[in-house]
Amino acid sequence: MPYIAEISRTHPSCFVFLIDQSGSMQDPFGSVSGLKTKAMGVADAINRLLQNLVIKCTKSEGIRDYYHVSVIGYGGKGVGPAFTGSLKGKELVKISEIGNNPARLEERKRTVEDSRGEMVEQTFKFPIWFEPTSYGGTPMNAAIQKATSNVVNWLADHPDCFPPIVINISDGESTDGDPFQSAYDLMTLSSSDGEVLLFNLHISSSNHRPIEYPDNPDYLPDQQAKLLFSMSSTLPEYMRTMVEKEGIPVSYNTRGFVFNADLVSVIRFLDIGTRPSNMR
Amino acid sequence: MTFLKYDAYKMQKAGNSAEEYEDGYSIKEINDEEVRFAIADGATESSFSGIWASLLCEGYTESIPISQLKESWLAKVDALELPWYAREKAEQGAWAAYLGASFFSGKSNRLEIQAYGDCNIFQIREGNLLKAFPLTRSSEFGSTPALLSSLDQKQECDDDFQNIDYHWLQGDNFLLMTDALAAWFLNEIESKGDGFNRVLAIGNQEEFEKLVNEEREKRDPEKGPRLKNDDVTLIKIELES
Repeated sequence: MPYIAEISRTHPSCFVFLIDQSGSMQDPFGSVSGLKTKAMGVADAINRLLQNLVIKCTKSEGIRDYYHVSVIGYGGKGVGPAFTGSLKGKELVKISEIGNNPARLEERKRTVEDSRGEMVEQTFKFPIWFEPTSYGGTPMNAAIQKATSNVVNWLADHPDCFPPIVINISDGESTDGDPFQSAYDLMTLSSSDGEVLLFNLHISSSNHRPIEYPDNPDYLPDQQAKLLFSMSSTLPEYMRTMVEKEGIPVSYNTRGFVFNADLVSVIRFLDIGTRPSNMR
Repeated sequence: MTFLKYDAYKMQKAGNSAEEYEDGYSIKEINDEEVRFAIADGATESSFSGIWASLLCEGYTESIPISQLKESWLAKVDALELPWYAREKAEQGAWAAYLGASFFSGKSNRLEIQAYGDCNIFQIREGNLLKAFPLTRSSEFGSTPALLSSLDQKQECDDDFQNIDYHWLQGDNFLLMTDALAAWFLNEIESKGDGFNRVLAIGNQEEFEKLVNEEREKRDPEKGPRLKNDDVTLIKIELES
């Protein structure tokens, strides 16, 4: 089962993002106080990711629905869809609907090189679909079960699709029971092209170096890291190649997992995890 | 024009409309002694790449500098009213591979070829493949070919331009193909399939479409369809004997 199915408007694929919105997400990224909170950093990364996905699917005539996307938040207010604005409450949304319905467009500035090689300041529109939230516990188990139910429905309608990719972003331990069995149930679902991919991104309040894409749990520092490793899929070949191109050593056992992720590794992980392999 | 005959065939990806075809080609009879051909493959990952592919082909056959083609692309896209995502995408530029070939008659029987990326030309003599350029094996076609940007003016002097001169003989056939078709064609030759003869036998657009549709349906369990679902373009040239 080789992860080679075409991703097209007639054969779309799906992404599910599970976002930890528990109380500890209001701590800063890294140990230094006063910086962006983890919730703010993740919200920025998810908005940027959605923007990049929309742009990847944009062609001359508009946005092609290569993907359907679900963003699920989990925290003190329970588990549910996390879009804001006109998409609020929607479970699985076509990428064209996402592109055409940001909650708002922020004006931001960036410095770019123009066609003559000179640096110029450019204003651009930064769309916002997802706001930072942090409150209460970490119902990761229920969140994974929610993803499973969305993916089961998706696979019933798209049995031959490029397998759905689920990315779980969290800073802590599950507070509603061991999520391993739920994760296993999700990872063993499949389309005719391969098993569903579940990747875990553990974000850090410490300044320890991130452990990116490990291939052996023996070198992981604690039980929580080992648990997340065990509930992360091994990378399919095309993703292993991408990770290797980033200068990270890989093997056939390399898993889609980052422990103690900083903001840079969050953005890199989301980029690799959502880069299309076979878009037509 | 007496020293050669030609035909061009094109087909969009299965599932796309004809307007979504993003390859390009151009043919120009300069005078009695020179005919120019160009094909280009606009990258699926970029937008407005069909416009860029067409500009590159016209640029080759009309001798327009690439820097001027880049300005034309920008002017066309800047003039459009676009939503935020289409504007963002356009600002990343369009990307394309292309190949141009100029055939000269007279005493020289010369052929000048310029390639950027993985559009390919094949020279066939007496029913056998004589030369393939720039790629010679199906395994050389990957997902990251050299692509020419519609934006970056500095890229023009890039090393990825490949130039070569050939000579032709009366009775030779030449085939120009965009990447998916070229990769399939080389694979057919390597595996001793009948694709080589089938391409040579194509005489009209219907026969071309029949071959493309049939080969897209044939699947290898590990690699997917034999002929990748991509826009395909073929120019067949026959030097008259």
